[in-house]
Amino acid sequence: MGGYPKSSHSHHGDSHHSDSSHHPQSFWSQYIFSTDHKTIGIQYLLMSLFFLLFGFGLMLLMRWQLAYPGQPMPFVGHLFGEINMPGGVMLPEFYNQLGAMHGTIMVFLGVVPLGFAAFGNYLVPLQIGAKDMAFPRLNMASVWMFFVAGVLMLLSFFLPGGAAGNGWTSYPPLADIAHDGQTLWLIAMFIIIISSLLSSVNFIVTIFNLRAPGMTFERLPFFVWAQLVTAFLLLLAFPPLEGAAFLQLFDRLLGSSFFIPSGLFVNGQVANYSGGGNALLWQHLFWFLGHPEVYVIILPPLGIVTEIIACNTRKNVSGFDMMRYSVIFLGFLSFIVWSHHTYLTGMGTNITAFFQTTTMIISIPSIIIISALFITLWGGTIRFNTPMLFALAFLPMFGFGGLTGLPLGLAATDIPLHDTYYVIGHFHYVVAPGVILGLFAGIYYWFPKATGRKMNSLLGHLHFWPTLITMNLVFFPMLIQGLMGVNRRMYDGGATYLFAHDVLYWNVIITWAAYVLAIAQLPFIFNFFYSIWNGEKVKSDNPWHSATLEWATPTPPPHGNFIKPITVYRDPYSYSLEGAPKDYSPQDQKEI
Amino acid sequence: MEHDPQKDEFKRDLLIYFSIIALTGLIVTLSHLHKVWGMFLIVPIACTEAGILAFFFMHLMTKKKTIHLVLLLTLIVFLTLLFWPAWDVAYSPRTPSEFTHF
Amino acid sequence: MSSHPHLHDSDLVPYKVIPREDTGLYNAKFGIWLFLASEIMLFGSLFSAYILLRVGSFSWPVQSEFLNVPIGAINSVILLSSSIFFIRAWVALKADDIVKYKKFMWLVISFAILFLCFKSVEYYQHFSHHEYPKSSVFLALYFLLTGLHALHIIGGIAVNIYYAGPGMYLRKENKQWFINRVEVAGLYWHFVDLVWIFLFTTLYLL
Repeated sequence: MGGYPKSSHSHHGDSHHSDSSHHPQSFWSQYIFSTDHKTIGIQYLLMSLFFLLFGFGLMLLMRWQLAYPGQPMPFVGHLFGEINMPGGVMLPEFYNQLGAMHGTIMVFLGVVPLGFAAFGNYLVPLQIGAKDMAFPRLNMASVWMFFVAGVLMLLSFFLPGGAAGNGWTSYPPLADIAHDGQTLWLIAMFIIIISSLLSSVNFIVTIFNLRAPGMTFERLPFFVWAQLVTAFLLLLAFPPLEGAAFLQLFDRLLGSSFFIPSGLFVNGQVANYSGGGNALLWQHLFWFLGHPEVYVIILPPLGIVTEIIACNTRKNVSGFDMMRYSVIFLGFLSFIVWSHHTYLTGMGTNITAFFQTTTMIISIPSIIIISALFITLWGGTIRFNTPMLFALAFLPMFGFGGLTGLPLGLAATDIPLHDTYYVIGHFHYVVAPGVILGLFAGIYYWFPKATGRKMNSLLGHLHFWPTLITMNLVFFPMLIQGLMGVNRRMYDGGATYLFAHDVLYWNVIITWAAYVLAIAQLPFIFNFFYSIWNGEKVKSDNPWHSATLEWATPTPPPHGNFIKPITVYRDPYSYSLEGAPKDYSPQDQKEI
Repeated sequence: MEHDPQKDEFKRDLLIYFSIIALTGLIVTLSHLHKVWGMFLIVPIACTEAGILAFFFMHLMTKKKTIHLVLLLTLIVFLTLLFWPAWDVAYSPRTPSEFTHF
Repeated sequence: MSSHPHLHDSDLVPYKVIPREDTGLYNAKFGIWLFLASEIMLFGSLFSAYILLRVGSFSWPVQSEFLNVPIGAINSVILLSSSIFFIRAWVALKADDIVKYKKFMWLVISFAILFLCFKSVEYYQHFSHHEYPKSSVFLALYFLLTGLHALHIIGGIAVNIYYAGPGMYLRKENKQWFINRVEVAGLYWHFVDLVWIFLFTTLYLL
């Protein structure tokens, strides 16, 4: 059965009692080892939300240390043992583990699985008019591999020496010689990559081959376009990191020197390696994935926000053609900008100039897309429901975050800013008030389709406003600190450096803002679970009056999704059409 | 049952097979000569072997435009990955290590 | 409205057997080419590592003095032969000649195992001369590249054994679907051969 809770169903009768498969399914095959894309999507959703919360928790621990370096952490300090926090005071080694795992978990187990795998799996077949993904069993394999990898990442905290503590970027030579947590990190990453590759294949074949009759590429919703480009990015960019992981595993387990330069000193002695390796090789291979990865992070929420804005302005997206070309161009360009992450490694001027140029160019398609969305608002009948609030906030926040990236993309200004808190401020602006707000928007928006109930809107406001305000309070000061030269990844927040003293007080403000941000998520968590069983029931299958296909199903959609064959007659954002009886014309409805 | 088209295909496959083997023999010989310019012949010939295998054994020539486009995109990304990092190492002013031996 | 057809799982996904008109592909064929594209990137990253490390080094060993070129060349012929056997197997399958199909599939599998035997001999020769991945960057590259390739061969052997043996019941369920599956396995197998061409050239001959 594809739907999630049994609490409500539409007037399409027995469709949700769904023994729409031949045999009645056991609990295990229906909910745990399901091949239905909707169940798998929800599995990804729940797991990635958990990982987001967990990763956030790691950061809350770090923030105490940054605001009050060397002081015992109240309430929870004693829980982490003498090895990590003797007397409740965080050790630098533990801080590094928290930092590396925060980044790793948030990126690879949090935002990407949420945006791509969760929303993508649930919605792409629905939006293209298909009954499931092209390879349902492969889909199940993907989600289970993701689960195993997540468990391994969490377990790594319990290894002697703790989890990986070498940054989410795992640069050698440090990562080559670090303790065992790094090996488990590499193995877990390998499993995540395989899971992701299989998903990418699934998405691309599904979008190409399983579109309903009449669903041309031009009629695909922008969300599907975004997922298609994302899938290609994952398909071609992840394997180099897989290769790099093999290289590092060889170094760590077999003593090879892929990344170990000759004459490396460790603890005052020449390390016993053959040498001849190059630590930069890792950086190139890592960032070859790393840069497309950030577009993997941003594109699905961009798609989500487009859907929500179109629906809640009751008009077509302005410049939809340009948005499509831009997203393809963006995907392509994202493969040739990666070395803006290695500007400070002693690169020659020619190669630096090349990457600087491509980096500047790649801002153009993003600007086109955001501008198109802003322009769409002009003259629209804007409905300020909870999803729309989050989608609207996304636009200026992501735009601002993107702009802060420009000094980083220009090599000359990157020199003082590289590896400072400015970088952290930049990417968190695009990911936190950007991507995460977009993802929340999607949850509020599609919750009624999956459950038949709306999330409470008062709780939505209680979630939205403090979240938006505190996110800005957390990340804006980081830009200031970075401009003053405060380095990233320092466990005392810069306290040992004189030049940082004038801006150290921001650490306290950031920390308390982060704690309020944490509290602001409680209404969401409560709302999410409460509304599944007690939320206000929706009165139709299409409560937002959207024109796209995912709303043309019963609520929640059964196994097989559509109860009648689907033919597509028009563009996805057919709102307020001339001569139409309603202000929306569903894609599968023959008459306008 | 017509055997002829099958036999023709089989003959063609055998021809491909022996040409790839011949080309392999050629590059082994070239390598044995240890000439500096050897690489500039060996690599293109190897690519030709691979191309023949892909075109005929993998039926690439009869594949649809979709596959061709995917492979073209892959090829461009692949070539980027192959050469840009080496460009960085070869032409950047970092001090080469005196200790570096293979 | 309560009646709608009960959907069997195999009814959910179209174009498993017959190709879709506009893309001209059935799902698995498109899927395997996409997977091969990702494999090109995987091996590509390792070749990129090779180029970067070799270009960045002061001196590089004469590779043919460390590696056994004759065995490598023999392995090339073995793998290429297995590729042509696979094609014969697939042609036989399409012509409904199951005996011939099985015979050729087992030839593919045997030659693959033979390849691995020669490879093992090579590895053993290295180990007995104390040549390990930790000995030099070149050897590390050699072991990683050929080792990863060998893992792909082992995976291919497993799939081929399945389709030549226990998996044959699938042919009774849907003949054309089974033919498609074997075709897809064949594409993977040819790709493994293709990677070997580049491996042999790069590691043994340059």
